[in-house]
Amino acid sequence: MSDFEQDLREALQRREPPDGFTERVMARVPREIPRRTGVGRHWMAIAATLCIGVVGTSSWQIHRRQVEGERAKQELFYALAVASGKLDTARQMITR
Amino acid sequence: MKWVYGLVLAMAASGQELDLSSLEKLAARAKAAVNVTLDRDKLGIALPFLSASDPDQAAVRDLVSSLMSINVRTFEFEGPGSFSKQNDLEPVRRQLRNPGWTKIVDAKDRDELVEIYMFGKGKDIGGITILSAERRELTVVNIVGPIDLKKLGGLAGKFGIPKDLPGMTPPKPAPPAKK
Repeated sequence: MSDFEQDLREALQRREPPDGFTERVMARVPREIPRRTGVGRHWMAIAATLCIGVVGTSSWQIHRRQVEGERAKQELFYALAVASGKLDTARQMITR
Repeated sequence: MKWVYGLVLAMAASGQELDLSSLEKLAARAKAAVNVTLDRDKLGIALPFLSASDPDQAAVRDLVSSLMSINVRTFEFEGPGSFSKQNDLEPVRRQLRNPGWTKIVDAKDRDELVEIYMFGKGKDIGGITILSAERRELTVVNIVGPIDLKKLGGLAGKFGIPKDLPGMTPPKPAPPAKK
């Protein structure tokens, strides 16, 4: 067995922890994980609801404006089509 | 200041804007009725939706940007005799006899008539009204504000609106040339 193998074997051999190691580690672990208070959770819920409300309302308003605009555009096209068509009819009647 | 501007606009439009409420009773007798009222606010809503890259829509934007309102009433009836070209249109014609209005076209052909009235003098057209009556169809158009009739006439057939809608009478073919 080479010196290197001997050194490795010694380094990797099982060693028992010193006495009282487990107790000292467990003493450092907090008994309860601190949890968020109920008040904080309520505020987070209110903020999330408000965010959803604001985003939802603005999206709905954008959608409504688009629908109104498209509708107004179609009405404008219709009105101008009728007006220009009647002018054309008058022109044809005069030239007939 | 906004209300002053509104008041000035309202005063400017007071003569050209016709009261078309007398036509409402015709809707009960009509097979189809279309009522389009585009006031300044609604025109303002429509304008941003007109494409600047489409030449036809750009022409519309140019034409209507200074208008105050466009009102269209169209009625389509089942058969002839459902309305009177004289009596039913009289309340509208009465308003067109007020100062400022001039009849510029009075075309009649069998059962069809088209009258065009202009508000203003010379090139300063402050509004137009078109009365059109056929056997089964009655149309009144009232445009308030400076309007270029040549540009308006040039828009005919450029909107892709179905021809079977009331008021959208397809143009009649030109009569054959006499030899």
